[in-house]
Order: sequence, then C-alpha cells, then structure tokens
Amino acid sequence: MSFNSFPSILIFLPIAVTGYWLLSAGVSHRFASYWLLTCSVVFYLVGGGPWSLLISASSILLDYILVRVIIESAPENHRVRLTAFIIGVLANIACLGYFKYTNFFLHTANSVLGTHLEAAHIIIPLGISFFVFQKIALLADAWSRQIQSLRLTEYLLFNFFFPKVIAGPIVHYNELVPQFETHRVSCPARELAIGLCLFSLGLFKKCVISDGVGVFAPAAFDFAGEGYPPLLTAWTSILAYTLQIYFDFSGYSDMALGTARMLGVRLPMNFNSPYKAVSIVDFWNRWHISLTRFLTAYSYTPLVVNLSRRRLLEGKPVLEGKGSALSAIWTLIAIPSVLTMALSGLWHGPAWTFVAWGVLHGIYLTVNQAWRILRPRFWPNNLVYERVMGPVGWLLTFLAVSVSFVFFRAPSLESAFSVLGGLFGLNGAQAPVLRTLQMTGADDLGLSVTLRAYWEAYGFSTVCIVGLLTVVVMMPNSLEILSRYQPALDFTEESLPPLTSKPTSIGRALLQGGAPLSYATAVVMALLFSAGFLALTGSSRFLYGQF
Amino acid sequence: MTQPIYKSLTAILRDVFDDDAIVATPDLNAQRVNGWDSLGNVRLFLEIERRFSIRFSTPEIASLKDVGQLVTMIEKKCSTVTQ
Repeated sequence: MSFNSFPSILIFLPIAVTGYWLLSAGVSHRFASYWLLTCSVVFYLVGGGPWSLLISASSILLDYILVRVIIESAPENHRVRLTAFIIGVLANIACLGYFKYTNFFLHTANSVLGTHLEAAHIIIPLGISFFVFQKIALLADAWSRQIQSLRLTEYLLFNFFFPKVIAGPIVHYNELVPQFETHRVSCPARELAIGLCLFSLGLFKKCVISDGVGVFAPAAFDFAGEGYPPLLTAWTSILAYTLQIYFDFSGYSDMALGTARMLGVRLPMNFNSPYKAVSIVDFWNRWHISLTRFLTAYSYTPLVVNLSRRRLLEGKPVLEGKGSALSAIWTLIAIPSVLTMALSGLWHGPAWTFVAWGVLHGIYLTVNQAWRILRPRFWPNNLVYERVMGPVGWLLTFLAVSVSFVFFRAPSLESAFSVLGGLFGLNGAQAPVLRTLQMTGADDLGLSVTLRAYWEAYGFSTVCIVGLLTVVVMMPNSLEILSRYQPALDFTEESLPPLTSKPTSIGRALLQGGAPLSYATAVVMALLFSAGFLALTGSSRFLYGQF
Repeated sequence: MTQPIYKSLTAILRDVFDDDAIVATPDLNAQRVNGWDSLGNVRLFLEIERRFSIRFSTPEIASLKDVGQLVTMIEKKCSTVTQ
C-alpha cells in the first residue's frame, strides 16, 4: 500500500487517524499506541506481504534483544556490550546484503568470471534499506548511551510507524519515541489540518507534477544505443527526469510528514529545495537529508577522523586550510567522499549504474571540498567570490546533478553512456524525424510545417521543464509555506544554510512568513488535493519507494 | 574556566574557517558559519584536540549541536585530564 493509492487515501488513512484520536481522547494514550502499532503492521502486511513482515519482524526482534543487552549491561561488562553491538550491526548488514544484493553479486560474478550461477528467487522485504539503516543508528545510539530504556510497544512502533516505513525519513530513536510516550496534543484538529496541508501538497506534487513531467523522461533512455539519443532529446529527457524525481521525492516526503502530523507526530526534515543549492555540499544538505546525516555520522566522519589520526601519527600533513597539501586532499577528501558516495549509490539499488552515480557524486564532492579549502589561496576576496559564485555555483550544481541522474535512470551502463554521449552532442542535435524532414527539403514545405515538427518533438516538454524549473527555484517549499507550524521536527527558518536562508522574494511577497490556517489556505489545499486525487492512476509508484 | 575556552575557540574557529569575523558564543552552530560542514567539523575537532591535548570519540564529533555543547565537552575532558 502506498500513500498515493485509493485504498490508502479512502480507507486506511481515515480509519487509522480517526481511530487514533478517538482512542487517545476516549480511552487512553496507551490504547491509542496499540492501535497505531496495529495499523502500522497492517499497512506493512498489505504493502509487503506476510513473508516480508516475517523477515522484518524477526530482524527487528533480534535487535530488540541486542539493544536491551547493550543498554542494560553494566559498564564493566564492556565485552558483552561490544559483542552485542557488533552482532547487531553485522546481522543488519548481512540481512540487507542477502535480500538486496545476492542477485547483484551472482550477476556480477557471472559477467566477470564467466560462471553460470543461477539467480536466486528472493523476496526483498518492504523498506528494508530504510529500516536496516535505522536499526544500525539505533544500535549506535544505544552503544554511545544516548538511549536509556527500551519498551517493546514503542520500539515496534519506531520500526513499523507507517508514515515513514516505505521510504523514510531515516529517524533516530530519540527523535520519534519521546513523541509516542508523551503524546499530549492540545488541539488534534490543528494537527490534522497541518497534516492535511502537507499531504495535499505532496499528493499534488506526486500525481500531477511528477507523473505529468515524467512522460517526457523515457524518450532518451528507452532507445538509447548507437547514435541515439540526439542532443535535444537527451537534454529534454534528462531535465524531465531531474524534475520527475524531484517532485516524486519531494511529494513523498511531504506526504510522509503530513501523515505523521495527522497523528500529532513530527518527522525530521528530509527534503529542502535541493535544486536551490549553490554547491554539491549544499545539495546534499538538502536532498534526502536523513540519509546524508546517516552516512556522514557512520561512514564519512569516521573515515576522515581515522585517516587524519593515522596521518598525524605518521607525521604526514593533514588538512590545514588553504595551505593543505595535495596528498592530504587525496587521502582525507577524495577517498572518504568517493567511498561514502559509492556506498550511498549501492544503497539506492543493486546495480552498477547506481554505484557509478554514487562515485560521480563522490568526485563532485571532492572537487567541491578541495575548492572550498584551497580557493582563498587563488581568490582571497570572499565578498566578490560569493557574489560571483552564487549564480555560477547554482548553474554548475544543477547541471552536475542533472547529468548524474543519467546513471540513476538508465537501465544499464551502456545506455547511460549513450545518453551521456547525447548530452554532449555526440549523436547529432535533433530527433531523427526532424533530420529526415530537413533532408527531404522541409524548406519547400514551408516554415509552419518545420515549426510544428519542432513543437511536437520538443516544444511542449521544454515549456513544462522551464515552467517547473522556475517554480522549483523561485517558489518557497512546503516547509517554508507552513513554517509557522514547525512542519518538521528540526525545521526553523534559522536552520537553513546562510546563502539561501530566506525564501525568495516572490515567495516572501506571496506568503509573508508562511500561510496561516485560514479559509483561503483551506480552499487552495482542497484544490491541490482534488487535482492530485483526480490524477491518481493507481499504478504510479514512488521512485524512492523502490530503494 | 569557561571564558578562556570561548576565547581559545574563537581563535581556532577563525583559523579553521578562515574568517576573522567569527566569535564563539554558546548558540553559534554550523549553519551560521560558512565552511562548517561535515569536513570542516572534523578539521575543527582535530585542531581542538591538538590545542587542548584532549581526544574526542567519533560519535561525539558527529553529534555536535552548537558551541555551547562543545565548550561543555571540552571542560569535562580537560577536568578529567587534570585530575
């Protein structure tokens, strides 16, 4: 079951939310928690099937025992704690590795070693990538004594909580569980209204915009090969996909936050106008924020810290601002960035295209970080630099991100390279139909025929792309629109990065500090919801739900 | 004890992030300093470790919220070292 489905919107959500508030007000908060857990398990069962539930539940219960051992062992039992921690982390990695990557490894072995190993029939449990990372974070939090106690109901709810079970955000135990334990919402109607606003925005983004612009995306990828796609097709296709995935993930994140908020729970921010980013580092602080946070804490930072300490012990230079040595940049920026992002790529999907996408972002981050450190050496004037690099940085970042999505979308590395070739003009400029038109003497047919042919091939898609890009860059995002109601756990205007901390002038003029819960807002949201609902096809899935 | 730490931190922050306008205050955090990202954070901690002769664990480095929390951590570690 997905948020953008008829059974979810018409049956599941109304029953789950109404039941929760009725039990919470009329019986007890404890019963409301049981109800929420039951609803979450049903949601998971319907979405993933009984086998999926059985595997996830077993893995979750094993971690329950291990986390309790870590929490309840006395400090002098260091070895017991450490053993439980290591078993927990390894078991989670093994679980993800087996269910998600077995066939990937078999396929790779067959093509590299020439073996003929048969692919295994493995059912991948729903949301496994997300709940495995979440449980590793839980084990780490227990290990560093940030969790004092663990109760079974809240623990199960933390894992199965349906608003975030399909595709995140990846939450920490301490962010979510205190909200379940001390749930004292004074005005449920207000929470419901805020949740519905977020949900409506998300439904509209997913069903109307993402699915709409998505129809232009396959053109370059479906027939990619020798001499195809041409330049214009490649660019319209990849820009359409760049917008499709943006509105897909943005829509999902709004709906996840909105669904949780209907139950009075705030989830952490996961998506914050990433195409407004003025650098790749900035982009990753705005795109899939909870994954970036996880990878930074458990992969990138430990790598940089340990490699730095090792270099210090060996008497080698570490990063020292603008005077940093190239060897330090290689070891302490390039290696951790590329390794972490390759892991991120692999996490997104068991295919070399995803690894290539990750490695490319690792290279982007390396160039970005090295430039940030060394730049004052070549360009000391900060003020002039920021004025020039604001727009230039935005354009470079957006193009780099768009190009990287070729690997994200392409079905194989071969077709990815064909599309890349198209982007760089190696396959000619126009669609074959237009080339034929030109060769057969389109001039004789008159300008109107030529223009119509161009319009049919590229016109409408270009208008949509330009229009949506303007919206993405100029308009405030859902969190900014609802900023006065703290729509995400950690969202305040001050928490935005400094260069783009304020909503754009149009957004500010339009909203003057966020939309109030007024009749006008209700009408706008109802229209968005209706448009999204009418556009529901029942077959469209979230792109991010597949990871 | 706290004031000298803030003074030292101001110097370290200015040094690491190459900006002489930075002043260490309890509520100063990564969002408000240009260049204080995940890499800048590690560079900052390694410099603090060097100047104060203390050592932080990776979770401590990764979970920093603001300068106020940083000062508390430094104070605690320095008092453990001197005891």
